[in-house]
Amino acid sequence: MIVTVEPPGFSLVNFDAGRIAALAAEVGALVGVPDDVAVEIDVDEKSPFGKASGVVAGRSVTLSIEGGAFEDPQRLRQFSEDGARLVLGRLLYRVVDRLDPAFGGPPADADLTKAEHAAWDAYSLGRYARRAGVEAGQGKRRYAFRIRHGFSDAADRAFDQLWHGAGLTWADIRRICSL
Amino acid sequence: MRKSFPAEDLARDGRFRRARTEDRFEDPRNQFLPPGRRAGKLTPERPDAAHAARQMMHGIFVGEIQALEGAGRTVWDFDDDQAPFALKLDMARQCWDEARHTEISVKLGEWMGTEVGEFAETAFLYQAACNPDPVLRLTGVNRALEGLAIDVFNTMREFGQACGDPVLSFCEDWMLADEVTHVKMGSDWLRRLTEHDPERRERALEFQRVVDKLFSFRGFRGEAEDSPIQLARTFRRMAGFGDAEIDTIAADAEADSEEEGWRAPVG
Repeated sequence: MIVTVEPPGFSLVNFDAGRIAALAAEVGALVGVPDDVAVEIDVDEKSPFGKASGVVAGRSVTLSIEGGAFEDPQRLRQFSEDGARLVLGRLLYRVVDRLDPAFGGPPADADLTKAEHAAWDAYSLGRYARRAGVEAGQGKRRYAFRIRHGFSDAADRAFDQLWHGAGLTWADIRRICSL
Repeated sequence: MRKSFPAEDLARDGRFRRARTEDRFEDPRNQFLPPGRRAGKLTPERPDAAHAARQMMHGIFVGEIQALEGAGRTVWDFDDDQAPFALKLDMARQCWDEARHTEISVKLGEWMGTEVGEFAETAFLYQAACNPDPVLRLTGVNRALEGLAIDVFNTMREFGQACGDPVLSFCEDWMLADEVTHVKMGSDWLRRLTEHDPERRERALEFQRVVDKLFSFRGFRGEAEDSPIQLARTFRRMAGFGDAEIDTIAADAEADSEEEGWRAPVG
């Protein structure tokens, strides 16, 4: 996996492009991004917000990340390695899914519904939690899932299936969420 | 035990991290946020709804701790000739409410997947509770701070209702009822303590206006469609706010939202 980070230097936040690239390479290897895939990470350091999304075009991937997504919620403008790992793990698992023909053809990130985002995020972070041996914020992801799919036992069962799932396809994710 | 306790010395365990309010106002990223650029009203439709709600809930949690500390200081800091015993009895009762709210907020945080101390804590709420004049402190705590609490609880209650979260909406509704009582106590005591001293009442209301402007966070709390915290007019009226007072808070918030600087982004 070839990683580049834009911008190469930061002035508004205490981020290090080299460290972000190293983390992305580490997480990419962990989740199984193929070696020939080029990943460009565009960080908008001007934004304290936390939106993050990815676009896959052939073997090229662009991750667009608002600076707040990598920011330590306890320390203003400081980088959070743990937080960045989770963001990268979530996005790169989705890249791995998109690159796998067996996964199926999900819409582009910009065209996903909020409910689909919540479901795919749960599936991605559940896998990352097991692979990396971290907790990965299951509680907050469950809450985000409930907001999109309802506060019900059925929604909780669907979340559990996604969080503990492996080898799912896009059709499986949609089926699990059709409560 | 010393009186008039400074915000820097408030006790917290290792899970908490204090952020300086000044650092937020001086954040160099503020210059890139155009006037009016806010995260938007807290509704389930916001893409970052879960994160924003968790962050606001954590803010409520630390706010409850600081409100407890503020009301508690009023019980201790003033002699009976400065503040009537009955007022301090009301503050003691409020302490009990705030302690219960703190415990409810911890449990709500767990329900939403948030850890204690996950987000930085600023002490500006408590700082409004440090005025040496008991009447000004009362307006700072029981009208400005607790008034903000009414707005925040109502916003969270409506958010819980909109996304079908029965736990959040139920808890916020009950805590909101307490906050109305706290503001009502502030309104009543302000009237009683300044009954024969209109100049002092005017100073207290001016102090409240200054604090309210700070608590509007440049339009983060207001009546604009994209203000994450909405002014809760009905509940404020129930708590003794006059329409003219509420209009002033709304107008100040709107005017302030056009200024450059920190506007408390969430999400």
